[in-house]
Amino acid sequence: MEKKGNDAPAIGIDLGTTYSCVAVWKHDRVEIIPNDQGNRTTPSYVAFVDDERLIGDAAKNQVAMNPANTIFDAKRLIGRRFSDSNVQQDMKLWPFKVIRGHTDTPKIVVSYKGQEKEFLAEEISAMVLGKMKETAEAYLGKAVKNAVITVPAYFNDSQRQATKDAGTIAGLNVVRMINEPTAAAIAYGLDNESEIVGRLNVLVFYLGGGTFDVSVMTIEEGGVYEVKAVAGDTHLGGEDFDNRIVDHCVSEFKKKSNKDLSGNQRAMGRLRFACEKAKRTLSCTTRTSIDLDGLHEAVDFSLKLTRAKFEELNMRSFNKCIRIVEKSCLNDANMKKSCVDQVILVGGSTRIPKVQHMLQEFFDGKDLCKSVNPDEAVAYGAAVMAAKVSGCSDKSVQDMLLCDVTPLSLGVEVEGQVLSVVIPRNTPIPTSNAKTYVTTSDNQYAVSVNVYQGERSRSTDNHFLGKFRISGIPPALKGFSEVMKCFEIDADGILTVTAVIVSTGKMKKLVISNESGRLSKEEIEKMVNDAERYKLEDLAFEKKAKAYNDLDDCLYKMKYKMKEYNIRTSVHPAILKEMEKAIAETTKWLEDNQTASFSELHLKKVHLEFVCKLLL
Amino acid sequence: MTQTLTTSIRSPSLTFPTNNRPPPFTGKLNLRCHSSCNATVADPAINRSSFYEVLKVKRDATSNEIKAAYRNLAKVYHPDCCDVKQYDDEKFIEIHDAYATLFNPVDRAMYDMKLNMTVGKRRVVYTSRRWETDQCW
Repeated sequence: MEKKGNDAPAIGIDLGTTYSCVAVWKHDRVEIIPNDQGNRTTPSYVAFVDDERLIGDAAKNQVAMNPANTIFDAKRLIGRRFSDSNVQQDMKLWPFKVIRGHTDTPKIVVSYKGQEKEFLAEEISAMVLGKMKETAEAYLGKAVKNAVITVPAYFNDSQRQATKDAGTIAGLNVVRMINEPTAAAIAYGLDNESEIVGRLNVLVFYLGGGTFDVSVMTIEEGGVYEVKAVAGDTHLGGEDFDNRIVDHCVSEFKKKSNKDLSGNQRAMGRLRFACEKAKRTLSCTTRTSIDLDGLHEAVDFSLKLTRAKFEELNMRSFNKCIRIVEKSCLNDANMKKSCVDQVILVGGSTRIPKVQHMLQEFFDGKDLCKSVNPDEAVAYGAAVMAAKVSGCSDKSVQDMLLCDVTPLSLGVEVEGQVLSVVIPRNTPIPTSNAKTYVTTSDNQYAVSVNVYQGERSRSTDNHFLGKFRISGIPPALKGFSEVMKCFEIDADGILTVTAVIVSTGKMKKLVISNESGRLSKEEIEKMVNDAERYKLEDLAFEKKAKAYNDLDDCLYKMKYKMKEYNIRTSVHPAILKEMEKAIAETTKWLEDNQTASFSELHLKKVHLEFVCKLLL
Repeated sequence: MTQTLTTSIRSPSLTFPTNNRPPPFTGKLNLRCHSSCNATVADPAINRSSFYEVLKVKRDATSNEIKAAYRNLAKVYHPDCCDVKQYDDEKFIEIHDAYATLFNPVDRAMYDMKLNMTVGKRRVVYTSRRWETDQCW
């Protein structure tokens, strides 16, 4: 950008559970980039059809036809273990197959080009990111390398790492990862720059497709954003509301026709699609109906759904949101609800009237801020951040200062399965902290350091991040040898752990290994190559499709020309016959060989043009 | 894979790999009562410049001055700023810790006291070690 003339600027990507959005800083403002369909958000869907890979709108549009090979919700799998209770729950609802890979990583199984293929959630997310990258490249006319990707504030270290890996697989250099509510706050702050005088206490309420986040922060004049506390649930969002309606429909269907449709993946896919639409409709009307002809075993399904019923079905989730705002976030930020100056709504699910109503009631009738676009604010903020990190000369971007916090406490396991917290939650990042521990037995020569993230006091109840061993402690009585453990969190919120034996100065860094579900450098490299290959295959497919169309087009034109009067009179009948024969033969060949390769198609076209050159 | 085994005998809980022989002394660690006040980096702040020096403010600076100084420095040293790639996060963390301590009146009073003691006794070696440290072994 301003600094390097030829390079494309860094882009900001909001990688969502259900929809993704990309934006860029251009001409001193943020532009949301529309995709090839003209939509400003792209569904985070990837589909595998026969010998083609579809991403985005194309993938979502065919979901009802091809449920088993259409992958969505990768963000709900990323950085999680297969045995995670949330994953197990979700698997029951997904029409695609998820299996347990080695070391407990979930793998998605699809059939592509007649073969069973396994993909990690990182790879699927990388495909979506690749699509967003392409969208930006088409818009900017340059190759894009650098990107800022947003993650839910309540994502743990594994989920952040995995998202970063997805970016790498997509061929992006992830210059920074920021939290979604923070990004939304930047969008708000920049939009209302002139109105912010002094200090403003802001609460960002982010209810998206798959995740829920609340952030309490202060915005100060001059663009200083300081996050005080975050809280949330990485498994609460629009998808869950859809699922609640789907469940309701399945039981209604059972009641009416005494048939269980939950095993019919195609029916479930159609039903889910209809339920999502009904949910959206209910945000502006009070009643709607879900009508599906021949849903299961040729039985039609029709259901009237009222807004009240929808609210009743999801009341528990809504209550949970409000509880998190009150119990976790405001308490942690040490702020009374009357001190909150502005409540910003972000994420598609904040359009639900009940959510708005409950939140307003909680804040004693305060007006909620709906001025930021709930779908685009996060990408907007990410683009601003991208501009800042890559050195944009705009003053309001340059003066911006962002201090985020770590959402969950980090610590090590000590004797008795107790979690000893080294960095408490809501500590401003980047940060580092160290604690010294002593040995528990005489002549202990090695310790294993188990790193956990979470708020529970028993270590095993928390999320296990990784472990390593440090050995070579000089023999001593128990309690005499000291090991110092130093935790560092960088501005992306990613953790590095080092352990040092105090007496010898021996040091060891935590490399979160494959064992704990992290990808090794080699694996990422392999996936980058795979992604490249898939992209080339996509290109080859496009090329073939184009050749097919070209030949078809050529045939059509020839046929049309043949009918022209002057051709019929001026060309010798024998040649005419020859040409007609060639056209007829090629038409038949094209009908019979729908899957012909590019070279065959091209050859046929050249041949046809040669025979019929008089027509050209 | 390691497994945590808690025995009912008085021995401490051990972690050892399940697939090969248990190394005899791989015990877990015990948390020691180390001074927990504002433990930025374990290295006690002996050879470091004082927080006032870090923020480049006078000892009697007002909290507003401290905040302004922090903001100015943060805008230069924060990892988001592009032209400071040569610094690592360390510098910003130091600045932030200094600010966090000095901006809070209670922490600042404690810190001032500690600073005065260090100056008065001409650098006591064990500033951050207290008598309890030795008692709990």
